Amino acid sequence: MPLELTRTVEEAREHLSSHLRNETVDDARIREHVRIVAGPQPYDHCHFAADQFFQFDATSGAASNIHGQRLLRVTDNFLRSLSRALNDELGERAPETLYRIGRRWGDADVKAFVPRIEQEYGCAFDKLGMGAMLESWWWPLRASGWGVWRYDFSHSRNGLVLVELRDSAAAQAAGKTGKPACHLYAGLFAAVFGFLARRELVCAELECVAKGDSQCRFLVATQRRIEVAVSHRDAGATTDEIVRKISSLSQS
Amino acid sequence: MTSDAKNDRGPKDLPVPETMRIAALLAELMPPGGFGPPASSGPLSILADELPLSPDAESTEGPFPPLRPVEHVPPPLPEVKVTVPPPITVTPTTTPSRPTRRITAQVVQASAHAASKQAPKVDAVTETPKAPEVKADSAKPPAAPAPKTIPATEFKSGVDAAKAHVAAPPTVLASEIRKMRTQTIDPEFVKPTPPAPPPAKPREPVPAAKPAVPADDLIPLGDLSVSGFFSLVNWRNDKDQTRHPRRSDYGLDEQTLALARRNPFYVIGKPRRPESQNVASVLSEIAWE
Repeated sequence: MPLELTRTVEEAREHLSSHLRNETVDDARIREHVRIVAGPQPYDHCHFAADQFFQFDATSGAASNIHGQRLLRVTDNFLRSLSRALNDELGERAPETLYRIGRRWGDADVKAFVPRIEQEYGCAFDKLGMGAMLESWWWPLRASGWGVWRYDFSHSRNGLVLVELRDSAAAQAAGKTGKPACHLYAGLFAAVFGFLARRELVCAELECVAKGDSQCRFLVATQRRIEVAVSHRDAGATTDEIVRKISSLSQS
Repeated sequence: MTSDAKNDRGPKDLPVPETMRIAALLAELMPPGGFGPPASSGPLSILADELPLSPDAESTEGPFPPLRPVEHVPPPLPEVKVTVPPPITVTPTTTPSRPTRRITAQVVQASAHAASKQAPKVDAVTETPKAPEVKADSAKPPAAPAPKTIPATEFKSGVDAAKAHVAAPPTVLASEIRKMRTQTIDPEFVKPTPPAPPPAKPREPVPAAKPAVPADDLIPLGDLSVSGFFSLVNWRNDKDQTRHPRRSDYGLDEQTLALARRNPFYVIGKPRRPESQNVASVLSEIAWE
């Protein structure tokens, strides 16, 4: 079983076909809308129980989810040790390194996700509902313990996408450090939304539980807007103030 | 005063033969004791004009003595017996800080209007003793105050009597209110109730048009009322949907019908509209630059 970052798209689709596909119903066509099928469905969408979603191969000692993604079960200590080891080795470049790791992870994940979701619903990726698509992408991460998210497109006309995250594994492992700790998530969101927007996007964490906030909030935008947002964040502005200022700059 | 207006002249001002003649006529017309006080069940508001005459004026036998002027001193009125209900102790349950409400006759009439149309009407003229203050924390009810005897001198004039009644609004205790609400109405005054209707059958919004419809084709509605039917099933008030909905109305194939017969909420088969918030449309609205 290959590691997740070395999996190819074809391997992901093969796993989907062999595990979740109903050959008697699926016609292997990609439509402009989701097909409504009476009776048995072409693909199994409902696998929310833990024993359905996760499998463990005792012979190889590997855990995977129902989509065939390799999993590694770790504790908070592992994430905390990873962050401290990077800080010790890289110093101030450790957050950027974590951001890049998350970005690579997101790039690989979304590239495998797009053909899988098209195949599962028999619909072109662009014609899928945005909500259904994003929740389908995040669900394996949520089931794996990466927290609960909520996206916000209400400021999209100003080029801003907000993401709220609760139960962040990175923030929980870091504790109350007074600094943003979810660099891995920021890279993940930047990769996914950059893939959707087909352009280079950057993500910055404006609020973090490790700083003492109630939840983690991320801002995804272009490099120029993110630089303005980070400068305001370091000056002590709240997320709403930052969004308001960037929106006023965008409109002027 | 009516007596002052009519009896301008005193009896001694009249000539004796005329007075005697009048007295003799009165003695013949009126039976003995006819000038006695009215029955005790008379009205409580007694005016001085209606007071009984002096006993001296009734003696008409024998040689007629010279008449003395009649003094208008009314005898004391009979005491008004008022039954005082025991005071009530109210224990607050929901709003302890709420001030105690003073229940007046108007409140009683307003609240118990529907339930006690046949109940004895609270007479606002009746001088009811002032109810004791309702105390929320008094465990033992205090002794009821003695009924106030109304002296006849208080009714010197109608205006004074009216003032005496207006001074304190009649207060009705809560026990009386409950009594009025739960009072068994005298069957003489009760309208004959119509016979009870037969037990209502479980409502069906619309009866099945044809009994030949198989029962498993009807979508079960449970105990859906008529209002529930129009708000849930036929909220457009469509005349074509004024019958029991059937699964076959939705154009399902046999395979789906077989599935829908096991699950009443499984309604599929209609073409689905395109996704309005699809990925392409949402991303096209984002102004990244």
